[in-house]
Amino acid sequence: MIEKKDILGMALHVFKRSRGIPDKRLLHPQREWAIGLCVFLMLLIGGSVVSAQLFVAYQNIQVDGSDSVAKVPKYNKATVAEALEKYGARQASFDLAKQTKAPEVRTDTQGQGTTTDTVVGEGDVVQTETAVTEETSVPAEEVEESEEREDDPVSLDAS
Amino acid sequence: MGYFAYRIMLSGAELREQTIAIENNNLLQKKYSELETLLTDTHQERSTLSQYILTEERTINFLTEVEQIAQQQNVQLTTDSLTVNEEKGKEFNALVIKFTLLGGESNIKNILRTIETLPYHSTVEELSLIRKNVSTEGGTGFTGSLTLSLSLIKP
Repeated sequence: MIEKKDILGMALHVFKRSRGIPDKRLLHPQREWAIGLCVFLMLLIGGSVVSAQLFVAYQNIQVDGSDSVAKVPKYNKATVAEALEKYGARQASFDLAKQTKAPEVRTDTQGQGTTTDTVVGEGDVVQTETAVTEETSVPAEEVEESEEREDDPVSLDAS
Repeated sequence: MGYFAYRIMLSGAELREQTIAIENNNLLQKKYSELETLLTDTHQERSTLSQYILTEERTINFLTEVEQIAQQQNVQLTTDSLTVNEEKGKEFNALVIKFTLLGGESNIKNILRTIETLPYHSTVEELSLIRKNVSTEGGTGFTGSLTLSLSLIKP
């Protein structure tokens, strides 16, 4: 049970510590200023760090456009030139072959043979007479003269 | 301050999207100009090269030309079949034409030489000739079949 002397003893203890004068001040300038400056510095440093990060992030915006943009096809000039040369030569050969005149042929209705007029050189006409022919089957892509027809003057060169 | 940072981040994201769009547009313009230059520089070569590849529109003219060549060489030429083989995975289809030939020996040789040198991307797939006594304008000669395969531009 607390008695009066206990309460007095506590009061004396408090007053003795403060020399009997109670601390009536509410503000402590140095303390308040220190606390305020610390908070301000912390906000300043934090904001600077965030701002720097944002700046760096948006300063170097790298665009990888190689996949999104359409690609230009490569033009192989050497291959095209080679093809043009080859087919140009082929065109020339074709034109030359077209100009080759076909021999005029007359059929002899009285006999079994036929007479062929072949125009060679400048107006010279050579007459060749062919004998009766017989049917000979030949393999594909190659024409061979039949051995049975020894008297056949027509010979075919396998080209 | 946090609010300001948030607004800055939003604007920054928008800035990034616009920057990417501008860069892509610039790249596209650059590639377009490159392609346009390439097309202009190679126009003559490409048009010459395209003449050597047959198209469906020119097929009839080609057949007419072959028939005219046969007439000039006094060879009876008949077109037996005309088929288009679609080649998947390849740039051209194959036009396969089968002809039947009938004429004199030298006439047949001339027309074969002419067909072999046709100014088209083509190959003679098969050729067979039979010597026989046939009553034709060319007299005694050969009859046979020829299979020609030409590259055809895909439609």
